Amino acid sequence: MREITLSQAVNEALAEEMRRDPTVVILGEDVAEAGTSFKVLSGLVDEFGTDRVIDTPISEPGFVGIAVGAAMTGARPVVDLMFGDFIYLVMDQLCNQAAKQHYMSGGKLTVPMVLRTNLGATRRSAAQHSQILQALVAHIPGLKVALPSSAYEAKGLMKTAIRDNNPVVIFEDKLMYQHKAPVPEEEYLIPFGEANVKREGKDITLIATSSMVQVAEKAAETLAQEGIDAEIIDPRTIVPLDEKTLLDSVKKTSRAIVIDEGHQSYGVSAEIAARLNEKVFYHLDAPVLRMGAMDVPVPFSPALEDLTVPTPEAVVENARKLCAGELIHAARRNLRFQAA
Amino acid sequence: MPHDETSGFRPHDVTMPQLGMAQDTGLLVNWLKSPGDEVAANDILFEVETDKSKMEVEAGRNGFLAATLAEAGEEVPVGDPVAIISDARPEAPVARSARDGGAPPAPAAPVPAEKDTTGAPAKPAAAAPAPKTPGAKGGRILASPKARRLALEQGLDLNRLAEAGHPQPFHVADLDVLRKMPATAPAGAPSEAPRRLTASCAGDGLSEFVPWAAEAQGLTLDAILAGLAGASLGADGSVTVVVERLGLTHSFSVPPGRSLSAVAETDDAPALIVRDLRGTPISTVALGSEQTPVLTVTGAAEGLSITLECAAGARDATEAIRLLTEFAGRMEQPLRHLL
Repeated sequence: MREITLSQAVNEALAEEMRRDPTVVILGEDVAEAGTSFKVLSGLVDEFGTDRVIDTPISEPGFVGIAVGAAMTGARPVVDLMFGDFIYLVMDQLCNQAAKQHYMSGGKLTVPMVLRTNLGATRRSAAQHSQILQALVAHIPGLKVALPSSAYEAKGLMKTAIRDNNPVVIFEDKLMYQHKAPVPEEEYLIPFGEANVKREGKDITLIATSSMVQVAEKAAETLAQEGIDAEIIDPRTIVPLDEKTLLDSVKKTSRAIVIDEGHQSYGVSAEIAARLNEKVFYHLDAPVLRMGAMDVPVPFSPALEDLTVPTPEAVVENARKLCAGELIHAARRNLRFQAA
Repeated sequence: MPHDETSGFRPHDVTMPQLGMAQDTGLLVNWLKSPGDEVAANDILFEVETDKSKMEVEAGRNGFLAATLAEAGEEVPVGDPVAIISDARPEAPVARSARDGGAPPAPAAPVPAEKDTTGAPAKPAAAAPAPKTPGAKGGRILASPKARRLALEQGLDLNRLAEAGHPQPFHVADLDVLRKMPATAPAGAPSEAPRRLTASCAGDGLSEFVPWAAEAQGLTLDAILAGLAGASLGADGSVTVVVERLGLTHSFSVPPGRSLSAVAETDDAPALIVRDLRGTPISTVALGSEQTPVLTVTGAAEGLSITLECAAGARDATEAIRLLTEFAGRMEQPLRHLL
């Protein structure tokens, strides 16, 4: 299968949906001529023109508000928010308006809008351009939240988001725009609420979102060499959340670490860990661990910044600890020889 | 809130219902089912009485009555489990009293033990004067939810593990140990105290040596550990050394001499066990002597700690000291082994 970058995958998804449905429009800062500061949308304005790829003034509340209204009245806008950190600016438009219109109108209005934005630290962008804020929007009923972990997911989830009749927020990891992954040429969609078992294992479940899936994959390789067989699950959308796949996995492995790059306290990892505790408590052989970013503003110093996010080494360390019950036991067991 | 069939509370707990506004406990009047009975969801399990009313409590789901956690005539706090319904037929259903609180009753335990111990002489079924020291050191036994559930389902008594000094918290794997324990404590003659010696190494010489040996000689970490330990025995012939690391066990034959590449895998009974617990949270061990002398390697703040444990008869004091000294020296400075 051909491999394309995450950036190309998003671009393809948008182009395909805009060809398919004339009501799909893009708006945001620098989306047309510049193709966004990450160059994800390059070329779209050439095909679809400035009526459908619209450069807006630098006013996030303004253009997200326009998008909400356009969505309520028949368009399918994809709004580009240059940095995930700017989500604070559009909280009213997103959480008070977009998320609640369907409810407030007694089901008469829908807001089929996509807010495309990003997340991710370790890009040396300092505290105001490095945040990972999916927990903020996942908390609000009425919003769906997708976290693609590769180019394949980025394309399939974006196409599903555009066709969804609810407001959807998609966070792309800005460090992954140039990462390549196999993406089929033929059309496909990834349904929301369907987790992906990225790697099967029997000893511990690593539930990871977005780029943390790659962290989990690296950790699983190391753990495999030590005889610990890790299962990796990528929820792909955290709202809706595919609970069943997570619970089934933890029932099998009895141990879990939840890894999300957002701040660890009160975060996505905490929510998933709590559900595991509530629903598969009697299958747990060790406490469920959360791993997230340190509860500090993201440092500008590269050396410090790298310390704040979950790493494969830290995941390995935690997995070893959770499996230590088995290790202690293995050390004591010595069955082969005492039986003699 | 959890209304899907995946909600995890299985085996299913049947709890004391709240019948009145200000009711703290309910009186269990009588049981209509016995432990081990197959029950349907709407079968009446037991009757409850409060100052105002009397009520029949149903099983709530199809299954088997795996445990009754209170006796007729006992008061049970509202919300506390009174019965446990399991999906599978319980091997050894449990009946206990609410007075026992969290601890399963000692007398109930001998029943299941009989089945698991293979080829052991028949055990007295009557409960020995049960030392009523649940968890001995102050109450609650620490065990994972899954281990606790399986113990209950299978009629295993975690108290016995606790009394044997098995390290807590207990995990599922520890239940294997429990199943293999003799039904009663072996009232054998007091044997000589086992030997336990500990050595500290300033550095972990292996971290540099192993990658080099792997690249230059194609040696694995386990083979190197076996080679260093085997040579430390100073035997005239080949010795078998077992290396246990991260739950995996490898057995090696170590010929006399210093050649690590002559170390080969074998299935023979070992003369020595090396247990590599570096990288685990464990910093010291006192596991008691086993059939075979055991060298346990744990990480220390700087360097390593190495513990030798063996039965007093297995090795006299001088031999034990020499073995540990030799091995510790080789671990600190693996090149010494080659020179």
